[in-house]
Amino acid sequence: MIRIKNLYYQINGKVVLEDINLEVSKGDFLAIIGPNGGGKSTLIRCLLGFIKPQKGEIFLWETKLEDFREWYKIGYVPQRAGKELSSLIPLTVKEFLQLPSSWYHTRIERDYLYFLIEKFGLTHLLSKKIYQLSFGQLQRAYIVRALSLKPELLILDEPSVGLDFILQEVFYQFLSEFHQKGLTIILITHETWLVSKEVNKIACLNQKLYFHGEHKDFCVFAEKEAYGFPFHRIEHTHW
Amino acid sequence: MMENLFFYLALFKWGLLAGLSYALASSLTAPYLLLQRNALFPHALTHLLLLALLSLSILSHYIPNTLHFLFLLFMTLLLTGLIYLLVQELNLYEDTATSLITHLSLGLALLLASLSSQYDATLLNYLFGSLITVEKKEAFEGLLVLIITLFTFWRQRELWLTSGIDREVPGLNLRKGQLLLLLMITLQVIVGVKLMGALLVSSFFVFSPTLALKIAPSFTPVVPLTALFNVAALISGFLLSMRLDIPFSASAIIFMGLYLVILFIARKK
Repeated sequence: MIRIKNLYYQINGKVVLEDINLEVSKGDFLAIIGPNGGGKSTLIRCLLGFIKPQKGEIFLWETKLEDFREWYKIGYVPQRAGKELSSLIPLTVKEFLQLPSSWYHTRIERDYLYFLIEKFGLTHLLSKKIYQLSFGQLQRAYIVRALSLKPELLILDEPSVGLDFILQEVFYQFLSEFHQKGLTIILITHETWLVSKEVNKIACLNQKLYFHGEHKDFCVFAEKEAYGFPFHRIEHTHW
Repeated sequence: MMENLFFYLALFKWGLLAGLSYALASSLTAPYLLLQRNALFPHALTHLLLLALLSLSILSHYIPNTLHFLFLLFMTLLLTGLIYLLVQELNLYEDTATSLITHLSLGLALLLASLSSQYDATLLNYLFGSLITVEKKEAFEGLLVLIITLFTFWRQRELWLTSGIDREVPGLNLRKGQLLLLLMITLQVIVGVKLMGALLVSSFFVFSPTLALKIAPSFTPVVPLTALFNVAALISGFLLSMRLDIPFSASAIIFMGLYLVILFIARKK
């Protein structure tokens, strides 16, 4: 589904990504972990074509990134989604959720959208303006929007930042359900204790890719190398 | 009274048609500009345009009439480009760079005005416009800008809206959309200043869309509401100026001041 070959990116003389090689297959639930400033979001921004790497190649569904057009196949929830929303914008939650259809000129299945709206508890918020939502509600709205076109791949950049523990639990449960139905997920987080057992692959990134493989093979040593200091990893036990 | 009205309508018909085109065209872009927190852009453009206008008045002997509009467009875009050069190269905030270039342009414009003795005609027309001198050709220019804006709006409106919410969306070139929005506004301002003056032109970009954005129950009616408020200001400004014998641009802006009162009342409710 995704192939990244020898990716190299630098900004203002500082190397952010160095010789990154990564593959994501259909059905993967990949967590990209690493410290703040380790290049996780930059990698995703390269992958989605927001920034151009100095070296390397990216293939999406075996098509070179530059030639890729089927963006409706990817749902994306950005980092700090909606944090800077202006209170001047009277966009309702319903209008917000329908935006992807106009971006990609693709019809949203009404029943599926309402299934998502109900699933993520947004039904009573549809006529509210998006700036009136709490952070947790907004985060859910962004996820519904990302899922509305039935993407094959969902990319979430630090989605649980700012959510309390209970909301995080619910959130990961939802992700797990969609993954079991066949959705491929890439999750970026620096909170390694949030990496649930549902995640089947892990990539540990701090400028270089220190580890990329099965969750079960994930080596704490590699994680330690990436962070540069020793620490304990706490597994999720509630699944 | 009615006789007077018909007399003035006949006298100002091209000016009013051009003003109507401008009021509608600006309502297609103004709400999106506010959402991008760039409300001062049209105001800055009017300053840049003054330098372009005074340069043109000095160089008019060397530039054919048919190229005057293109000259103004090119020079205004060049100065706008300087703002983005400062943002990119000196890493300045956009409002800082805008302020630097507009002040520089204004200084140069006043220098040119004093050197070329253009204080009266060019400056007065620039500030307050001249609805009475608008001819058929200029009214059609306004109509053409409206059609171009409408076409661009139809194709880009979702991108313009998204730019007000998301910084990046996979597969969408939001930057290109923003540039097209600014280009449309540049076109509108160049045509608008000639008709209604700098003061009124930039006001159309702030009062009506602010009221529309604040009172609309959702985003869908924002553009029609902005158009309605802009047209109401244009017509009321015209009627007030005729009745009270005061400048058209001043009366339209004073009428738009009512929009602020409505905002306060709506807020209390």
